[in-house]
Amino acid sequence: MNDTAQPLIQIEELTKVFYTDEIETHALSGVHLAIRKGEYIAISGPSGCGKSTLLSIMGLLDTPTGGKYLLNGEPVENLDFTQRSRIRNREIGFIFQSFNLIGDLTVYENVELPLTYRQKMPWAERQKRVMESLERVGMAHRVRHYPSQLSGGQQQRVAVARALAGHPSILLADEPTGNLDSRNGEAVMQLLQDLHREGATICMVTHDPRFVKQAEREIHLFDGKVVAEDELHKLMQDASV
Amino acid sequence: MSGLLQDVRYAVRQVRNAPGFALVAVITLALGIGANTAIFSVVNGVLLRSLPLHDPDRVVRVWHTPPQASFPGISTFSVSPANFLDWQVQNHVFASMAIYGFRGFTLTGGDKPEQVDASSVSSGFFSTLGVQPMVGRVFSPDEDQPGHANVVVLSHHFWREHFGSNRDIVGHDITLDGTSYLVAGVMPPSFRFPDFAQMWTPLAWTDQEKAVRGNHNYLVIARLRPGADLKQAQAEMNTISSRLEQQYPADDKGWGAAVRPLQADLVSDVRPALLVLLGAVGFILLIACVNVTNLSLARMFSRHKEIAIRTAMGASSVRIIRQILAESVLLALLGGVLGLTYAHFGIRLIMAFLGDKLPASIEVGIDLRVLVFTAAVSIFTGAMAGVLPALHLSRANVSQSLKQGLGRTDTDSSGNRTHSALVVAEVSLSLVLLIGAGLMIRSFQMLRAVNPGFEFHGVLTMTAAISQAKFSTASQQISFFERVLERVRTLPGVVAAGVIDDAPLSGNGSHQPIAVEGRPAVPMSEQPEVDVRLISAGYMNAFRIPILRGRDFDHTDVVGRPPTTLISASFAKQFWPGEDPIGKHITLTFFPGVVREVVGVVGDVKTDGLDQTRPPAALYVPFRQLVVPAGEVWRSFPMTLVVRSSPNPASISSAVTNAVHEVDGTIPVRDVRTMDQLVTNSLSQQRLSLSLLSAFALLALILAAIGIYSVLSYSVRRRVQEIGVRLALGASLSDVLRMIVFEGMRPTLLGVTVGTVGALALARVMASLIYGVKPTDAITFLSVAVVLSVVALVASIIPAYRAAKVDPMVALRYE
Repeated sequence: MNDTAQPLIQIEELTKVFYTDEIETHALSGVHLAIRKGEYIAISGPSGCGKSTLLSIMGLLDTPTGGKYLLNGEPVENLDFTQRSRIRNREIGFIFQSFNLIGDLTVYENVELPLTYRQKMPWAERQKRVMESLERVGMAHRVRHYPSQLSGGQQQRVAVARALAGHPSILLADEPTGNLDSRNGEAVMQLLQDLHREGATICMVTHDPRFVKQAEREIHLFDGKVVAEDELHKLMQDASV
Repeated sequence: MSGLLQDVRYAVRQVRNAPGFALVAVITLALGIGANTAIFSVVNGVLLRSLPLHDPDRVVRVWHTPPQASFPGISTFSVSPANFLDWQVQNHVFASMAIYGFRGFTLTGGDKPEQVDASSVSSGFFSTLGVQPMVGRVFSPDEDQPGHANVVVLSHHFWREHFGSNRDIVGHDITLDGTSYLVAGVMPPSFRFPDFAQMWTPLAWTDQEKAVRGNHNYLVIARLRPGADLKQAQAEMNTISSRLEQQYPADDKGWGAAVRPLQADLVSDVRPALLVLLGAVGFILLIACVNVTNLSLARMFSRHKEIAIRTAMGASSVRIIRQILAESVLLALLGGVLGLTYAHFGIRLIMAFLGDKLPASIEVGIDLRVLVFTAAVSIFTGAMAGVLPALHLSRANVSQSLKQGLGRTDTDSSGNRTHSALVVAEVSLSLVLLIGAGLMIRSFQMLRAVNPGFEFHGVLTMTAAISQAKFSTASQQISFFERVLERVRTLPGVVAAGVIDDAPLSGNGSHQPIAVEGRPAVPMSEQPEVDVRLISAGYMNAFRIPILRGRDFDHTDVVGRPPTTLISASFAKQFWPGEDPIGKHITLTFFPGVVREVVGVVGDVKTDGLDQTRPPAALYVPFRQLVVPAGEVWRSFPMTLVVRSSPNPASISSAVTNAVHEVDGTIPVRDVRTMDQLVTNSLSQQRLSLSLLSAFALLALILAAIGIYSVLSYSVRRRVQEIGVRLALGASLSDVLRMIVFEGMRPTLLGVTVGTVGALALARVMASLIYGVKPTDAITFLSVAVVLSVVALVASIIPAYRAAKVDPMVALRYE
């Protein structure tokens, strides 16, 4: 999966339907999206528009109901759980709104976690990557701490280090500043900005217009569809009426 | 490998971080594993561990099978000398055969005379079993000849206790029954066969003894020839038996042979009970598994997010399952370690009840096989308890779990169904165990209420262990006991006293063929066999066995007067139905020419055990008319004193012992015990099964109650918000109470139904262990269902009450 001529992510006619009892909910309806290597994309839209669903599908945490999803040129929409796990582990780095660090693990162990799920990675290599990632986010001095001993900003930096440790093709960030105060939020966004400058591909879901501007490209979602910015404003005005 | 180590390391940390959960899980699993280890240790010692013999699987016991017309319900019988010798010569399937019997000696030369239980054995006895002496030698074939047999081999225990393990005793003489016997050797400590043997002497049959075919007093062992198997051996013994039947119809008609592996034969009495107990502890283990599964599932409620994170980081479902299993297996292994401690004490408890029912050569304890079993059971239990939570978590909706806090997920409803299904399983397993225990309790009550035919309270028994050579004539033995009884009857508090050759419930007694007046003469093999007991006047009175017709024995029933007999009511009914048996005559076949007149009919006595379902036809002979059977050599024998006293019978034991020794100080007294003790001992196996099954059933009941309680508590915790909404919308406290109790009782009642079906299906297994109660006893089934339902109701009420106390305002803010 290293064909640079291909978009890193290519999504066509993607749909996702949730079935609850006899009610169908169309979370995504015919989404088209392409993300090139090294791009920094922000996905925005009102609550319930399908941002997180799209991110989950892009992160192989969920499967689409229909459509195509190519990751590094390979179709991944119909993979089984194990295949998705393997690709997710190697290609995707997640940054969540609520950090999602494991409270029973130290900072070091949390960052090491994705590497422990890789076959045959020597211990020395794992240690090297963990320390590099932690140093990259400025948390190398907290390796023995537990998440509960860190501030929210520090926890999110550890989460970023964890996402980086596996050397993924893309970082998927879901409202990465949603649980942080403005100062810590900005620090994390700066970190993402720096990572992008160093070549990382980032796809971020966010509500915050300040952070949307940092991205190279903005994707607007409304009712499960990708819409243009002016169209989004019109649709939102209509909805509020 | 490193991944597995990480899983283990993380499992250790999980256990450390949730000590409360871990403690409850470990204790619960330890109860299940401990019970299994304890029972398996006994099964291992009794059924699985080989006897300490060379190639023990090739050693068999060969029994006679008696004609069912004469011995209804009796499947095996001892062997006569002549038949054994024919078997030995005619068979081609055994490398060797040997025969042995009981022999009592009086050992003198020490401080006081001592009764010694020995086994007289044919040459080849030790080689058939495949054992070598530890010191010295065993018997040579030459020593198995009359006149050359004053030689003994000592058991290790006897050698240690009497000779301080001094090797020099070999080659020296000891005095048995006033005669010198050369000590040829000492057997190793592991060799204890037959159980009673403190020493072994050669049989050394005379030609006359070798010719006895109709009198069955010996036991036979054999070693299968290489290449021969049990089936072939049985087929050949059938052929030989048929041949002997034709050759000696008078003695052998209807008599066959049964070949059984020695080990299985030695433990056949306890095998069914052990297998039932093994099944019971298997149920306990399953219940413990279900409980821990339920606990784990409830705990997983708070771990969805952690697992979702791991999944997001690329953990495969296999890896997630492996991690959860590592945790549950670790808990189970800790449970196994604690269970071993339980088992250690459990084994001691079981052996306290069961020890005397098992062959002495069998050792029960925790050995390598038990340890491997415990480890295997622990790992299996851990896997069982972890598999559902692991699958549950590995299938959780990852993206939803990541978005949510620790609140509910969309898998909760299926989790709730899983909990309920587990409660159904738990209740049904518990019900089966409770019904098993209930049946045992009812059976035991029936046994305790059984009228044995004699009044056993207030009676002391003891055996005057007279050796074969003690008295040279029958009249000497009669005189001895007459004088003993005279003295005993004058003791303060003694109400009545008598003697009998084999007391009821002692496990011993003679069955003999008889010829009945008015019936056509038939060969001995076709004659009816009845219980025959030799008693003194006063015996019936001592046991308060009722004289139904005629009279008891008295001073007139002596040698020289017309031979008399008492018969039991069953005897009268069997041989003279509707007739007056008084004045009728019978002849004991082994005492030809002595025609005995029936002078009285007495009540039936359960001689072999309280669970004897058919009252035996019994015949009593006055011991003062004791004569030597025609053509036989007189050999004196032990008899049991039966003394009824008004104070506690145990308090007069010394006085009665003294009375025996005042008559003859060289006669040892043994088996001094009250009849209450004998009755209690006779029920020890039933009591053990009852106690263990009851304990297991109680454990199951507690575990089931905990299971129901924990499931409902979990459910209430999960539904706080919903309950708050219901209350806010106007639900009354009783509405909430009813809702939660119903939630608990629904799987309980389903479990009771499933368990009842299961118990009915397993009823046949219990049939062999119970007495006087049907395995489908409606009272037991109904009582147990009610008890279990009430316990479930109580277990439901506590969380229901907690739910009813939910503050709607707090609940609606609950996350």
